[in-house]
Amino acid sequence: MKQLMHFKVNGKNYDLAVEPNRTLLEVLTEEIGLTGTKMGCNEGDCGACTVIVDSRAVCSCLILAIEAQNITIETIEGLASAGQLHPLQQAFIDCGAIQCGYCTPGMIMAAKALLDKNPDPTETDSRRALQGNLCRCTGYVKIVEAIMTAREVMKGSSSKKKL
Amino acid sequence: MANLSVVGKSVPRVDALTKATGAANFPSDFRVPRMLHGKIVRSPYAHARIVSIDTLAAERLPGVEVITTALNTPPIPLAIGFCDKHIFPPDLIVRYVGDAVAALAAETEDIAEEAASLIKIEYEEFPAVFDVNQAFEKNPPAIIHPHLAEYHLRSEQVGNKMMRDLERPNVSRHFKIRKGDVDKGFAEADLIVEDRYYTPKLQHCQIEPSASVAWFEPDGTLKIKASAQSPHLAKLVICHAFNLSPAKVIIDSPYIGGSFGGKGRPTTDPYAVLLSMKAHGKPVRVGLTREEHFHCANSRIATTTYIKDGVKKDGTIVSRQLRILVDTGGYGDGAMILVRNCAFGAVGLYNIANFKFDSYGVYTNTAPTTAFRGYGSPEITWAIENQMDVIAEKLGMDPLELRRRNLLRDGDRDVCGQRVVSMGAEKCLDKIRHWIEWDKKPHQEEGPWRRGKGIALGTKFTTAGYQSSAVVKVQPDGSIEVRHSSNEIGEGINTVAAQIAAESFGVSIDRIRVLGGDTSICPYGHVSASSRETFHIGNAILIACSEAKKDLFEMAAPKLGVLAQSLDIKDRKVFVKGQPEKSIEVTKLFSPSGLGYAPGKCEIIGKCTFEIPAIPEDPGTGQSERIAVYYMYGAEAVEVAVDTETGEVRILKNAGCFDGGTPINPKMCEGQIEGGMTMAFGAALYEQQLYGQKGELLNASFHDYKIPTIEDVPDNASMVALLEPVPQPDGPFGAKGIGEVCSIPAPPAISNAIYNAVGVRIKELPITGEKIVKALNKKGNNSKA
Amino acid sequence: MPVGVATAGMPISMFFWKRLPKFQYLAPKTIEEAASILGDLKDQAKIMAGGTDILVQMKNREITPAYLVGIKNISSLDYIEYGQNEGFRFGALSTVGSIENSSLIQKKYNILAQAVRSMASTQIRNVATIAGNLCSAVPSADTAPALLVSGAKLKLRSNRGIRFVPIEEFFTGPRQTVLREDELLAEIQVPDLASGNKGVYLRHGLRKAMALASASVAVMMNSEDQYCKDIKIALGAVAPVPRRATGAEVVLRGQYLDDELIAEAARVASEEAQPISDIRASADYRRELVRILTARAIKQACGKTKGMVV
Repeated sequence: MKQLMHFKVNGKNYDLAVEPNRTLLEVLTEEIGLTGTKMGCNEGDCGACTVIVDSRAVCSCLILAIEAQNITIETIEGLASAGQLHPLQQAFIDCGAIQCGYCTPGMIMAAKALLDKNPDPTETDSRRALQGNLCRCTGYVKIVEAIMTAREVMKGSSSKKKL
Repeated sequence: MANLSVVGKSVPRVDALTKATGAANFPSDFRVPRMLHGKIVRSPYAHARIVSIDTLAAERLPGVEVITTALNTPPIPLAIGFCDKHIFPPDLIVRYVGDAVAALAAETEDIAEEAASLIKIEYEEFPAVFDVNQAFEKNPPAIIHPHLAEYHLRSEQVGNKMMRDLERPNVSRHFKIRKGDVDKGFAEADLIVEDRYYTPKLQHCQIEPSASVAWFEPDGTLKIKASAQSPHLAKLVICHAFNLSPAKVIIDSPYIGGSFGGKGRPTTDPYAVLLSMKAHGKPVRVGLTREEHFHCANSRIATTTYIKDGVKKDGTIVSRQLRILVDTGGYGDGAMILVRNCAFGAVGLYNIANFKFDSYGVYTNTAPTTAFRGYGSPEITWAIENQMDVIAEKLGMDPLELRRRNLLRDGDRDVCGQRVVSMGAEKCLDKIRHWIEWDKKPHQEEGPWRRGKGIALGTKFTTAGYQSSAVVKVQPDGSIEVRHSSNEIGEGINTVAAQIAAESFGVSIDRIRVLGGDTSICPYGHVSASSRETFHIGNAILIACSEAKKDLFEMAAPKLGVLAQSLDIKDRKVFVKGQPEKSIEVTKLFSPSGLGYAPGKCEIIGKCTFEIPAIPEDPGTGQSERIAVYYMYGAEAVEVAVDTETGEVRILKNAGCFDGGTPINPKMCEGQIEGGMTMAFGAALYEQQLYGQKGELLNASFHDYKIPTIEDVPDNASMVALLEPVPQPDGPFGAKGIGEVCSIPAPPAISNAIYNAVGVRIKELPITGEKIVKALNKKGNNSKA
Repeated sequence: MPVGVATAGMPISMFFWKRLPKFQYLAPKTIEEAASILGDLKDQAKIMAGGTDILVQMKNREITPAYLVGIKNISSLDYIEYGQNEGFRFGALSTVGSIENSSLIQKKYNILAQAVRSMASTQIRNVATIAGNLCSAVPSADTAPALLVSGAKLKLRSNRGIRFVPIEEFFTGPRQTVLREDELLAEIQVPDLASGNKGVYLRHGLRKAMALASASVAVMMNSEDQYCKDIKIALGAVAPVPRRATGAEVVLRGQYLDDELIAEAARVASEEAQPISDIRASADYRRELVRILTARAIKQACGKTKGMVV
């Protein structure tokens, strides 16, 4: 029996009637139509469905929609603002870190969760943060490069703000 | 290759933005309103006959629209030519755990799953055969395709004359190469080295599992969002399967979330089409779960290779014999060509006077197989590049020197008789030798870890005899639209296409729009496989551009008062060569200017279908002067550390140097190399599909089937992709391809490094800690100075 | 998991599930309410904390509870407390990730930090709870060996009251615990570690990250100048339940730690293991791993060697 649920995704509110046995991934992609978050395995082993919930990277395929109400959810679609890409998105493009692109949203969200918490991660920190995100195309080299690049850009712009 | 503006530059990918924002739509993202959800019901037995199917309870479930089963569906073939697979087995015999026996569509996925659970199927179990050696016998425990002869008779395969082994009922194909006299060579040799190597079944593990949506428009046109590595091949299969006119079928799949060969054969499209047909044209989505994808979305062949070499004291290999049993699973039409093509991994590198090759495609009651990056070359290279090190050690020779002595050179003929051109293996070897500091012994530390270095070569060919096409249109504002025959599976064809068109017209890349994956507007061409895209689509685009330019020049010539031949184009201006100020803007050639039609020509369109025709090889000897369009080459060096107590292997440093001809986009080539090497790490150390006693797959999840994670590859400073291009004379700007060769040398390089570290050689992939410990204990020597 | 196990002659259906099964979801606001619900529904209900284990089991139809009792939003259950004499208390909702990031745990209960660091992935650790890891009772549960060598006690609550179970008695078999059908794990208590204690957790998996342990060993040792005052050793993934290796402990307790003695203790530990062969490793290899990891963990715990870095 569907229940009325309230979601906050990328700063917008959504009121939807949803079955209790729906996962957050299913609600995002099938009910709200935000298909940027991807299903890779549906069991939390690949990270393709990574979103940020209350500042933590989580696998949305293992979050019940009914438990995801009234918390802050960020998906890939919410990253660019006012036509400006997030530094991570720009870095992924510039460093050649995208091939088929299917793992990309999950990778970027996991990386964003890292940089939001730790603005100065080492390469080892970055690899650890993304250990749950599988990629079959890139060998991860340019993904790591992109995170290191975005780190510098974000440190630079935050120090600009201080001025 | 002087003064190129776009080609040869590492421009950002043209599809990167849409993918970075999550906007790119993949087949599994695609949804239409009131779409039905399909589910496939499958056999739990490896070899059995369907006795009865009871769908009554499922039919009664509200929301179920269509149920179709092996008992009430006519035979629908899933391949053209040699066909051993249908939507449901027409003879009601299932041949692997997971074989499809029924399908249904319902209003929601929940209802579809509930309905599937209500379908009751009775089977009569048969003895099954899982071991390829047993299946290969003249009297195997089970005959999997008793009507194999009929499949061959019905096959329209031209040029690749398939030879069966009539004495062995499970052998679908036998391919031969014969050169010289191997036995004479063995008699002349100073040393004989003989061994057996094994590679298991692997799964492609594309991060996007297969999913398709099919529906019929009101006018009867069938539209499919297909999970297809080739939109045109997918369309052909559907037309053939359902007896539809190609004019009434449209496949539209611009982006695929990875394929690596796996999505070249249909696993979801035909079921979506069948269900949509039965549901009066309503859209039906059929998507595989990840577990289902492991079971049923086709695997890489397993191989057992017997290799015997006769070698002279000076290192010359005078005689090489290879025999390879290819486990193609319960269905292998996707692997049929592979049984032949795997041979060329043994052909491309070394100059050998006497050569005998036999490969056999063998059915077993395990997962069906298809192409997997490298198409047999990785499997055979696993045997050869281990063997080379074994030979070198026995001769007391440097393993690199042994390879160098036996390499083919430009101008030589390989063992099939094709002349060698653009051979870059030695340059790659030299570069890699330098990078890994080959002559310096690795630094050993206190404790259980031992370090070692290893190198291996690899080669892959691009097969001749297949076409690619391009249509190039000049827009009224001077920008260019390119429609090519493929789709973007991740390898970067859209960007390569854009770069080549941009270079040809002298415009910046943001003036190029590339369309792929839509069969209604993109011209027919063969699959993005065999590392063939850059070369074939690139050449097609170049010729199509030149045709379009010809039309423009014809229109501009009278306006400039010159002959068309004296014109060129740059920055959307047609100008006189040598007199750039004498020019006319492209926009002015259209009426109204910049907007309308091209007077006298309607539209400015150039088109080309490009092919390098193959010369079919002699079926008895495999000889042909033109099997390959070109070969690609590479060398990889690895430094490993091995824990001598647990057997754990860590890759400390890795560099691969590859010759793919001139790189159109160097950064993209690096990306392919980095990804290919990482995929090969998985094959070397972690990956195998494991089967239980009843042929059931035991590790059908990312949890239990382990592909490399970001922490399993060396740090960026120690993981290096190098290019050593040798230009291909007939390649676009000298390009060949690179997508597969980069996934080939890692496993033997790692094996050679492990041997260097601890003195054991594991011949069956994957090289697990457990196998190393067993081997070390057997050797009785648990440390190496 | 496909539906049904093929039995000769019996009609079955096999296909692959994607959706979660249907269930009713209850969200108690307090732990008392949760206990009361369990008291009413008993085995029809399952407690769900992080959900990373239970939802996978449900997707595979290994379990299909009629009710899920979600305790995620009982924020009072999410705590890590420490007192000089009371030791540590972990609430039922303290996540593996919060334990990993806790500087308190890193400083005062480092072996648990080592254990949780090795688990799964960042995304899973952000959501999975230590209580859930214990209640899943998989033989390879990473938090169990660390708790086994620390004298941990588990506080079980039902609407009948509270009882404490030492962790040694908690596991009864693969995926089986002493939890009664109306009980939930409310808190994990670990006594303060005496100074001089050093804990080491080592595990071996098929791949660096995202891999179940094929074998794991936890050692908690109180030693000085290579004299072992006290030691506890626990093994994971090599028996039906995570368990202590008390035979190996006896070899070392009250002795000077020389290499031979350590090797002997490691040998005894490997004999105390009861491993199975499965897709990850054979029983023989698991025993071998126990022997190797035990020796290494002991040597690290007494300072003979530093951690392994390649």
